[in-house]
Amino acid sequence: MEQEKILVCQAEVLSNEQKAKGIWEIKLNPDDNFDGIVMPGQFVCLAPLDSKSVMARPFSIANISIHLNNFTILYRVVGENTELMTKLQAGEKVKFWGPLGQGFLLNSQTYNEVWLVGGGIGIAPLIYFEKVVSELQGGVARVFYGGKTLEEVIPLELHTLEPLNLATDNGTAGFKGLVTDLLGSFIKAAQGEKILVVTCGPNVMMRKAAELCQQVGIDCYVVLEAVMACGLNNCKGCSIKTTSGMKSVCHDGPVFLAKEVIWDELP
Amino acid sequence: MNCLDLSVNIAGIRLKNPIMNASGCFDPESMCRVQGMDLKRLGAIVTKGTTLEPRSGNPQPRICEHQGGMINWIGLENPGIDEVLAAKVPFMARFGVPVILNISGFTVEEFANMADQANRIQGVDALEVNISCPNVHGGKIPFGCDPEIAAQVTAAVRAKTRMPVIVKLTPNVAEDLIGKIARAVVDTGADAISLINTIKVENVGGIAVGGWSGPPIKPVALRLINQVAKAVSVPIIGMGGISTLQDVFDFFNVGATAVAVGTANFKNPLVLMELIDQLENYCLENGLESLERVKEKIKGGK
Repeated sequence: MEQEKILVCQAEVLSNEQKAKGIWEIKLNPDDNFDGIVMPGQFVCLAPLDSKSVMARPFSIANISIHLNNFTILYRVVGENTELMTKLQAGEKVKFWGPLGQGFLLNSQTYNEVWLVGGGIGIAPLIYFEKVVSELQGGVARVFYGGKTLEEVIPLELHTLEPLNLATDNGTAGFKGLVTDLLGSFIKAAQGEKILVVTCGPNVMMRKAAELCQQVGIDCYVVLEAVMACGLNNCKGCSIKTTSGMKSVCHDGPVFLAKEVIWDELP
Repeated sequence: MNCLDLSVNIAGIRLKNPIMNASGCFDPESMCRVQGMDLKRLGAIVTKGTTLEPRSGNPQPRICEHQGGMINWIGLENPGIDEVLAAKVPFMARFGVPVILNISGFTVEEFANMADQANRIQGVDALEVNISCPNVHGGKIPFGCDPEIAAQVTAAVRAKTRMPVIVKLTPNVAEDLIGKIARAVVDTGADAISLINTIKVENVGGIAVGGWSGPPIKPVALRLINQVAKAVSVPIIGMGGISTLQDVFDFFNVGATAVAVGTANFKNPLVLMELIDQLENYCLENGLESLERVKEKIKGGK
């Protein structure tokens, strides 16, 4: 995997639609082909659209079709560049590079179920996880998805037969409360089963999910978010302290074993 | 036009072209996986800032954008000189391009110690001496802010190596000082000078003390290089906000012999390749066979 090439090229915008309040989905068709497989958790960088920007913009791959050579990114509008992204029309081109980071290849034999716990835009990489897990022989994926309100929750097209476990802060959709509360009740009910949890979202949420898992000995991986300059391990701007030393989120991550993360060191 | 020769000579080492990466902005091990990147084409490869001991660097946040540039507060995260010489340098050396080891010390002795170690192995072709680090025996004021202290570092490094010594200057000095610092390091053994390091800023984007880089600092770089070029006659490696061929020419016009590209690598991983392509094409289109001819042609603009 280390030796696979990182593609740098233009990609044509196939579609670009708002999916929920402040959340958009863009589908891109690269001019070149990805070299080999792209794993859940890997990401791409987009060259910034604002000419004054000097740092790349990293985005999780939310879905990918190697066969059709296209992929989707789910993005939250947070500033000038993501605002400009919403203006992109089908047929326009953007520059990107990837796949970046270490993905996550799991062995479905080891676990009865894979629980994917997403908060807000953190659902993005888990969408691709869900597809991959559901396509594995005997793979059972269970999705937990938390948002502030119904209008900030994007509709998910799941492959798993398991129902979506949705939580909103104000109870406008699904369980009223935190997605980690929902996760906690499932963990209580599922003692004894071999479960893997993969979580992505705000650090406070991932930390809570990791603690819940650790208490009962469930394996937990986190997909960390970080401000990056390039996604290529050039500047060490996204390095974090872990129990196994300094790690670049862009290069060693973004998927980390939860128990390696030193949460107090993160913003 | 059969033989286009873009080579330059920096302190006795031959660079096949005048374009290299700036220290701390380019990881050869991951960049060689980028499609379209050919490290063999670079003028030189410059390592990340290397310290005597391994360093974890600073806590998050370490980087942010600011006014068209970037602020960083990495804190010289690196595995230390032993690991750099044992693993990083041999990897870089296999591209057949000069490897410039950037050494960053916190005492004069640390600089001397690292120069001594680098001098004993194959693979390092030149040293870049980063004198922007705080001097722990000098009230944490960077070595490069005082001509005498800068000279002490240079002399200590010079005494330990036969390799070319490039001293990298900080721009964070008083108006009349940059020329004096340049002369002081040349007088004590610097074969070349590189500048500018990042511009010091405070309290930006949650970063208490950081270094500003990117296009906004280019005018400052040009001003300081111009002053250094008037003060000394050794080759200058210019850097600070370069992202286009016109930027490269602007640096040549104030006296740079070669250039290094830093922040621009981040939003365009192939910028070094593109600049080399553009420089070659410029020569072909204008019938120029050497870098000397390029520098003559661009003198005074156009």
